[in-house]
Amino acid sequence: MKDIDSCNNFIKIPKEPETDFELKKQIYHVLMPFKIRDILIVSSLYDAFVIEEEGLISELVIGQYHHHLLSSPPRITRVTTGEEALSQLNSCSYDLVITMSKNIGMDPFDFGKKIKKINSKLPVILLATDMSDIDLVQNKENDEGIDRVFYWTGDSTLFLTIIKYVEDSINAKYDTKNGDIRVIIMVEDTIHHYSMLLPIIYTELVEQTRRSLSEDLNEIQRLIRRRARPKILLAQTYEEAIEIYGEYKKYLLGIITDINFKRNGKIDTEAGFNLAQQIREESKYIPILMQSSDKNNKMKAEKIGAYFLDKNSSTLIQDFHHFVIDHLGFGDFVFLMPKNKRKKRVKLEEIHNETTEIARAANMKEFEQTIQKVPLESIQFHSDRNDFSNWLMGRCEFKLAMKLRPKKASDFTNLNEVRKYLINVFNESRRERQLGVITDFSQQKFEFEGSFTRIRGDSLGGKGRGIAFMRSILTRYDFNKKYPGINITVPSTVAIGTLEFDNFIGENNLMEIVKKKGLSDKEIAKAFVNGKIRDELKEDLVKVLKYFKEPIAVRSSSLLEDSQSRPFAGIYSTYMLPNNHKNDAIRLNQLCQAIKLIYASVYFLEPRIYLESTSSKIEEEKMAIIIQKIVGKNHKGRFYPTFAGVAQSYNFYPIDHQTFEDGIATVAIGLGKTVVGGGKALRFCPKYPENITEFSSPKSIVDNTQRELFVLDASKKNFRLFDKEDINLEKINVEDIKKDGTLEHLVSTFDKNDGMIRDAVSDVGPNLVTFSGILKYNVFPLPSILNDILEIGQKGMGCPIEIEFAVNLNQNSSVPPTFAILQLRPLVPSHEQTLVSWDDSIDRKKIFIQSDRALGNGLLKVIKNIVFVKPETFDSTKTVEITYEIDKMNKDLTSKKQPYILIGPGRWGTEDRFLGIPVKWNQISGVRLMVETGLENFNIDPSQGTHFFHNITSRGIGYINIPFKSKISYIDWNWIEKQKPVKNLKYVKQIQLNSPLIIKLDGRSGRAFIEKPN
Amino acid sequence: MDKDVEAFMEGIIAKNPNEKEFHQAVREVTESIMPFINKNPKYKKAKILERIAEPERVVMFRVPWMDDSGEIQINRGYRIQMNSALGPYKGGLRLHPSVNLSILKFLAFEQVFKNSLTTLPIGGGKGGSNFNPKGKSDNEVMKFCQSFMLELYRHIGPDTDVPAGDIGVGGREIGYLFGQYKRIRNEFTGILTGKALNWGGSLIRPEATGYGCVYFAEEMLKTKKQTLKGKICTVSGSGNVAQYTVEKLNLLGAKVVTLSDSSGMIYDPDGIDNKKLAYVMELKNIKRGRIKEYAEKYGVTYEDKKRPWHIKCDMAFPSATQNEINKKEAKMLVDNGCICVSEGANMPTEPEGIEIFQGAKILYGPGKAANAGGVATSGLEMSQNSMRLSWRREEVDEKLQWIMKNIHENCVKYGKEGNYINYVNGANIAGFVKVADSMLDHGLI
Repeated sequence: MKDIDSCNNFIKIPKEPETDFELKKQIYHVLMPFKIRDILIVSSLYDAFVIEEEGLISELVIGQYHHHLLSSPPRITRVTTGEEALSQLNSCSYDLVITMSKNIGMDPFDFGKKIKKINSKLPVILLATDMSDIDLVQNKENDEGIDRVFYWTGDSTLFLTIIKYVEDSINAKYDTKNGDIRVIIMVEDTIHHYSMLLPIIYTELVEQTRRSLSEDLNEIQRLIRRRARPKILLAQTYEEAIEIYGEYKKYLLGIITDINFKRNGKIDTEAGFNLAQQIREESKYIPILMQSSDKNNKMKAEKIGAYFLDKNSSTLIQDFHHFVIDHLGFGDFVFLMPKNKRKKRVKLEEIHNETTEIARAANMKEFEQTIQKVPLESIQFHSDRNDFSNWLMGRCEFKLAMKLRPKKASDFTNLNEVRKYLINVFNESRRERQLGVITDFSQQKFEFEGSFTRIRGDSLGGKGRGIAFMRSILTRYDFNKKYPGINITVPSTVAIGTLEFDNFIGENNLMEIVKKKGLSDKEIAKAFVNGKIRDELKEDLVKVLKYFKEPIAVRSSSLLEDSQSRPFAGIYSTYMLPNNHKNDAIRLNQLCQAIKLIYASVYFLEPRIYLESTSSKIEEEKMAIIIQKIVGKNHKGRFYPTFAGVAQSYNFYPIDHQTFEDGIATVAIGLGKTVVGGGKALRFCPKYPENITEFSSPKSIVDNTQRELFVLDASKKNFRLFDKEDINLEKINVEDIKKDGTLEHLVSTFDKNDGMIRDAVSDVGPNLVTFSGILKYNVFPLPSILNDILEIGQKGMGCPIEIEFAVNLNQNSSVPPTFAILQLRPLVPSHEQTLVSWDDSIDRKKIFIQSDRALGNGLLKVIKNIVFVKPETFDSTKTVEITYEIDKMNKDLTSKKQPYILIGPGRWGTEDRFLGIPVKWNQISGVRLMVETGLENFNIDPSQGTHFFHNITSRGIGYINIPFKSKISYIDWNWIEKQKPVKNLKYVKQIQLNSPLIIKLDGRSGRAFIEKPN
Repeated sequence: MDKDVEAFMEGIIAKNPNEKEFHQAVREVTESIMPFINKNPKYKKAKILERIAEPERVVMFRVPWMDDSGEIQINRGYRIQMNSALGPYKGGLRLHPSVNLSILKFLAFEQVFKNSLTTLPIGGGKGGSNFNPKGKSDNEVMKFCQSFMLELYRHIGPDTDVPAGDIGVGGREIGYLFGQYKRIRNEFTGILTGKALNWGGSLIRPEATGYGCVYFAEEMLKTKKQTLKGKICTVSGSGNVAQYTVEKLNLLGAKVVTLSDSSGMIYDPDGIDNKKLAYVMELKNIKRGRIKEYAEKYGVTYEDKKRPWHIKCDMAFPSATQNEINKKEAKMLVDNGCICVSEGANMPTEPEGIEIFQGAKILYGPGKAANAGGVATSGLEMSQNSMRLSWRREEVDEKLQWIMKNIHENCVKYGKEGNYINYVNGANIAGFVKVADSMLDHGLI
């Protein structure tokens, strides 16, 4: 915090203790006097959900909070806009405001200033969610509205870190003075960096405290230890560091410092050394860790007697972790039984001597079990002291706590009644909790149907979080009432938290393997497959498989995947398992293989390059696993849903009366791979389901409708996942499933005699996937359901969203149709702050490219390179060869750090090589702007609706579509042909201009133009 | 000659400014028939060319309709009644945003000669609207069609003008238009062609172009006193035209050895017999698969991204798309002993290719004559409607064969150059002469 003292007004400082040992013990009770009790979060519903309800709150944030502060977890009030927040602040008191950097309806810095006007001492933390926001805020760091900026990586411990950090900043002075509490100083000016490192220190401190607690300690003793933990103070400039050091040097435990940071307002490459030198001179044994991106600083640091960390090291986080553990050297409900049963009142300080511990409960479940067995005296003891409700408060079980708080043992006729009451209340609460939230994995009660269960702690990852969020939303809306007879659900899901990923990597020493350079994906996969999954997890998976006897999808869910700003959509692996072997051990083995291979995919080439292009570190990435029942039915060995699809709440290409906000959906018969892979599928706007662009003529329908579908080969018993991710999938013709009875309502027939499309399955002509029964005759209210889900999803997330879904119509069956939401993710970050307006007056001769179908926003003046597929040699059957040429040019340009524009026909990144160039991300990692053009005989609809496309937009890469012979959209091929090529391969040419192109993308109107350089 | 064309075109351009498409169509026809007109002063004196280039009537009208969101939309409707010397105006309705007066006049002008060439008693016309069917619901298309017909009905009739479908107007649109006409006029008459079989349509429509193309080829062979029996034929494409071309060729004793699609071609030296053809029909029409699968099934050669013109054959039937035979391929065909090319597709041979065929004096049936079977069935539908009869498949086929024979005869009549028949010139002149002579007969109207 910039003005630490100013916040002290918020602290109700207790009277200082007198003297003597006994009193000294009591001091710990009054340590950490400033506690954050009320937090105002300004964010979209989605961000708040991540913090408040994902389940991490009980596991990590609040769970760990409990260990530190017992019954004082923060209350979180959530508002979605800055305006709402200001109105709240005028009427209520808060200890901390955390605001997201966007989607709050106003500039966060202006918002901060307004808060300070209301209450100048209220700490305001800005949580940036996007790297581009970091750039924006880095320049505004001295802005008085915001006290500190953190960068949200999806790691929920950051939230705990912020709270601790703010408290430490305010309490440090008091706690050091009164309790000799130690202090660690971190000097770091890079937001991204300290946001990554501070959580590691705090997590370690928590772990350290936890480790130091021995079983025989009672609550009081534990409290003392917890409150005595060191404080962490952060400085961003030399002057700040010196000031903090001056004040706390007596209490200094260690210092972690960057080398380059500001001194006297300018970046000083010696600042870190000078600071370390000064500290070393005064304190010979204080551990100092110096960090730098320049390896050459290592020797110099070591000369001072400091440890050194290379910021570019791929093992930075691990190394840092080691430093914290090695060099900085740093609970449960305890059921007590009064020794003297007649003595009702036991003083706090006497608890240890006057009571006996008879049982302990680490969690709610254990509590529920234990309360049934402990003696009635213990219940009375705790009940009179409000211990139950305090403990529950500590676990953030406010509702339950409030229910119990007014009850005293004296309210009941006998103590057995008290026990019964408690059991009932807990039972009821548990049932309530299971609605729409994540249940802990339990060996005893594995309540599955429609549930979301988590095995192991830590994060669920982006995808898991999205699924959990969707479940929570569904419980808030009464869909069953609006759509009677339709089961709208999220399939039964089990998530394995990221902790297991860390365990797997650590216990199998895989970090050593992945650190090796030049390993192929196959080699990495092999090493991971040879790794051993812990027996405890295996035991849990055995239990899972007892309940999951149908085909399952094993999906990746990484920390960064599907996050609001950087969805790694489709980057990591997903495995579909028939899960049908008679031998349970083989089924388990298949599941374990899938998990291991998903873990391995974190280190595959494509994700690595993608990760690097987003300025993230591979070490930040952690993988959770989602095990989901596949929605579908078995049709003689082929398992597939009636149809599946993707829907987006924002449509980049609205036609006619549609608007951008009307959304768009893409559906295909069978598994969703057809849609997400960019295959032929049906696109429609859920608001106007009968207005299908491709359906203007029978020929257009015949040409554009789905021909093939993906099904799971459910008859396959043995397979090697190692060989191929989609080894269990089969691509078949729509005609092949005609006898399954699933095509009814989805298929029309072209009657060539009459030149008409007949909405029925018939043999008179080709069957065309038109979804007419649904879109025209409302046999199943898909458009309406999608409208509702997209609306509430967008409202919840606070930004446009994308869902993946699957539907089982269960035709000719008494089973009601099912609409299952498989995934939910944010769609595109908004870049409202950089508006570019369209200039109609520009001379057409100066324009290289003009389009009214563009995505992205901003003014780019850095691109000099153009890589384009030559129209004259383009051949739609040679698209794979074209990717090789593009790959070569990309490698060359990225090695020189030169961004480029990529221009080519059809869909970029399509999986159907006849629809465009099937490039993978790693083959175009340096691209800044992609242009899809139509050619005379190759005028393909744009890529929208695919994972690939999603990545383009979310990474802030510009996108322009130029249909052939458009009246507005235009590309000057003559001009580009006249430029001297740097490289001219068979299909692809690269040119380099002397000065950069001027690229203007107007996101609001969807228009773009690129001016030729002068 | 050029001077005459330029002088004529000057007048056309002055009278129809800003109608580039129309200018182009008139110029092409004028250039091809000017020598014939110069040889026949009666046409010149009667200013037949000037009269032919002037539509008998142009109707332009407002088409208001309400879209699904309740917004009022206004389009512009047209009907160009170009020439009725041979019979009621006949020509398609086009629904496309690019539609304007110039484009429709261009299409109507061409239609006059196309229809004339079929030897059927039909005049020429064209119509449509700048309505864009893309992204419109069934309901919106219906509302538009009903509004369009609410004005058009005054100008058409079974003996006046019988529109058909074109781009953007298929069976669905014909149905909506027909229904509205029937409702307004309270009569069930053949005012549109392209109707469904249940309510006045004709059989053999999908087959007509392919069958007709083979009949034309058969007639061409007869001039050389040859038959189709035993002839090795290469066919390109694998859609409707190609499939029915193969079917008729098989029936008449020829052997088809190739088919293709946009990915490549198959070569089956044993011939694509009816059983194999049934497989192709299932593959392309039902499964919509690629022709490559034929090669896999029957173990024959598949050539990726190739067209079949390098395969030795007696006859070639380009039935895929425009410009699929270039100069080099034409030469290959001739060098390989091909004696006849009958075009099932529209303009499949590039001009340099046509020169090669004509230079080698092989039988070359241009698309405008060889694939006129499609247009002819429209005429046959009109006849059946007028007679209140629906002919059997065999009857329609028989009449199609008779029409193709007539077209061929007309081409021969006007295309004979010594021992060689120039079917291109023959078709152009035959189309013109029939219209021009009828106009002379009707006096100055």
